[in-house]
Amino acid sequence: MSDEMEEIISEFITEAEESLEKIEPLFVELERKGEDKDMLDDIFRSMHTIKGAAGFLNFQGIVDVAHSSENLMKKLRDGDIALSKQLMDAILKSIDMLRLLLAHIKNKDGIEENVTPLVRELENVLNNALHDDSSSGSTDEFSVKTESSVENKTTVFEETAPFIDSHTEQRAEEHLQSTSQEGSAVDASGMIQDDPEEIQSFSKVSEQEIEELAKSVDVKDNRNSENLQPTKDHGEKLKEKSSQNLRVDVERIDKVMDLAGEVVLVRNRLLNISNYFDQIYSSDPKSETLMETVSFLDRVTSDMQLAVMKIRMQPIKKVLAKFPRLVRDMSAGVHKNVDLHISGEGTEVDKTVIENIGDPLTHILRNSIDHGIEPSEERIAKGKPERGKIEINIFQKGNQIVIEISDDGKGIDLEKLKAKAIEKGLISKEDAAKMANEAVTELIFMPGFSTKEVATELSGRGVGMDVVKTKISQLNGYVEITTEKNVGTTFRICIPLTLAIIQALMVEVSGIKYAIPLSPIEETLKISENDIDNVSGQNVIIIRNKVCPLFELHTILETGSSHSEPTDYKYIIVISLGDKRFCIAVDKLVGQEEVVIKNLKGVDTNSSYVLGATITGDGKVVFILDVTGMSRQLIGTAIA
Amino acid sequence: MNLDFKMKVLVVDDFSTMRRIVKNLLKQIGFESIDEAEDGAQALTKLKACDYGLIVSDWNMPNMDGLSMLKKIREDDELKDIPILMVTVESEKEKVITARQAGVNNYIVKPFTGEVLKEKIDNIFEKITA
Repeated sequence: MSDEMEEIISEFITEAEESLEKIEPLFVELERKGEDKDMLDDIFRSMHTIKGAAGFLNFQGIVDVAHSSENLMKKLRDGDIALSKQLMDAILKSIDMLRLLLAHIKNKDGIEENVTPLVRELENVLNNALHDDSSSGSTDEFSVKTESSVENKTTVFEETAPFIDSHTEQRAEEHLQSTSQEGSAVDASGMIQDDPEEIQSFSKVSEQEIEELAKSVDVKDNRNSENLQPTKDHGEKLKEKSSQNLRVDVERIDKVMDLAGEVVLVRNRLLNISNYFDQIYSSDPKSETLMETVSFLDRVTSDMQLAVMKIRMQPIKKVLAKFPRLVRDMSAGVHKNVDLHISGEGTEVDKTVIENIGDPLTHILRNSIDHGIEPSEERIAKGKPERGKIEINIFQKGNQIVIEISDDGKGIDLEKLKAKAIEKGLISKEDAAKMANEAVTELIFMPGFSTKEVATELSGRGVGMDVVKTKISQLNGYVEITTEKNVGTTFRICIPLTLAIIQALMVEVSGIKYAIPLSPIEETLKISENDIDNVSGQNVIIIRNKVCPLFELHTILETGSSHSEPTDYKYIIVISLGDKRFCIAVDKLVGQEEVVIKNLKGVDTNSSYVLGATITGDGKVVFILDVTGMSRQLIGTAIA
Repeated sequence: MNLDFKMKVLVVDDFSTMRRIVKNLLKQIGFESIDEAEDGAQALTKLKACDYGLIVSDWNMPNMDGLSMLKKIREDDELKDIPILMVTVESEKEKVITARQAGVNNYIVKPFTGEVLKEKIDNIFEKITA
């Protein structure tokens, strides 16, 4: 098989799996909400698309299953049949079957699933539904029933089907219905299978022939009910898998998460109030009881928060599963030998992380294979093992998830990187000369940057490494790169454990309170005006012999002048995001608080440096600042 | 009939595997410049920005489906003459009539080979030049 073909197949598998993953929750929704045209459309379209692509790739089993469920969905969407549990089960079963078929293709295990029983079942369900529903009387019903049941002979039949004149078709249907009491079309299919010749002559059927046909249908009745049996096997396989699990709509979990967040807010307020009372009525024994009760609530709330968070957590394995194959294919595509080692795949991360981490990881892997790992000859010449090695290591560190992707390739050539950035007009020669090594590696995340002269087939997908940065920032995380010539490169991604509740430092500027996420804060300092230096127009301070750019929060946010006196002390927050480090000056440090992030509607979070809002212990709404966005903007304008 | 392989072709499909397959087949035929769009809306933006000689479009797409896109194109003075080849499946034959009425130049049934695709495209341009 050609590499191109392999790639198309692997892309198909990923895309088909994703699209199945997307429609599955819709069924839960459908069951809850009842029929919804848009949702039915979505499901229909997915089945339809999978079928279309599978046809090109000659995956007949997938075509057959997708075709039958597509038929069901079409009838459902057009209102010809009504949604029932039986119908839902059948479609879900077909989704499972499609997954299984995809898995076989992915694993190249050569296992052939017999899809006939399932296809039969789907038709049977459709027929039952059509019979139940008195409104069903469309003329194309007959052709749909039979068309989908002919299995391998579909092509022969489909050619003739549309040309059966509607009159004959209608009569045929009437006869079939009157002769056989139940599931006549399924019966007819049994017969058609026995004699493919009949299919071809079908377009010419006379009334008499139909009558004969209908009679023979009754005789086959018994055999067909046997044929329907084997579906049980498949059903049992699925049952084992779901024994101890409960499928819950994500929305419900999010609702609980939201409520837990509210409880955290109430607890914060209670803590505030009880502290106040404790100071005023410290002699009152009731005050102590209040403190006790509140601290108990405090503990329970924290536990609850953790428990709810855990519901949303899933092992990251889910995302990593596709990587061994991906690395294999990608490295084969560029004629390199690369082994992938994964550790810590059991680490649990938030669902949102699972959903969004796949792309950035794929990009980093691509980058490592394309640019990091050397071809075998070069490796041997350097005295390295012939096969390149990429390691993915995932672990939890404090309240962060760390994902490290390291290769043992040639490392990033910083000079070449600089030269390229200058050539592309991303930085000036003067900038390049001043740049620290950490800042140079950052360049690869700039939009439109690629160090290879010719983009390879793999990376030629119109997106670059800047996607990595963007995606990770959206998860409130950051990426850092360490690289050493001929030893290799490590990408380290750090993401907060939970995305909904974070620890924050409350600060005040121009009389307004803001929350800054605690995780990127390295330290807070109190400095005097004399500690501030100015380097070519940029204020800097020196922290333990390292120059660090300093920005005033009130200037960044354009909130007007700072309330502090010019000669006064300044409170400085040192922010460290990966290898970027900068300081923000504020008027006051208020304290640390656990805040619940509430998303803001109608606020452009990209340009306003606002991540969201929260309600503080004293019941006020406070903006949570987006330091990642700030760093991008600030460091972008002043390369230190 | 000699096709102009220099013309830009726009492949419209929401499924990236399909775009890739169609793109590969077009390359096989000899087309050199092939662009992609994920749905009708994206296609329209691209069509406005650049000159295309041919559109090969899927029918079932989110946001804007093939038919709505086709109608929009035929209503647009700038775009109305661009030939459109519609990609469909067997069970959608009834749509072909609707599409014909709306001004599609030809249709092709999935799955197809490069030869069939070329035939259909040849056919479109033969009719146009005739």
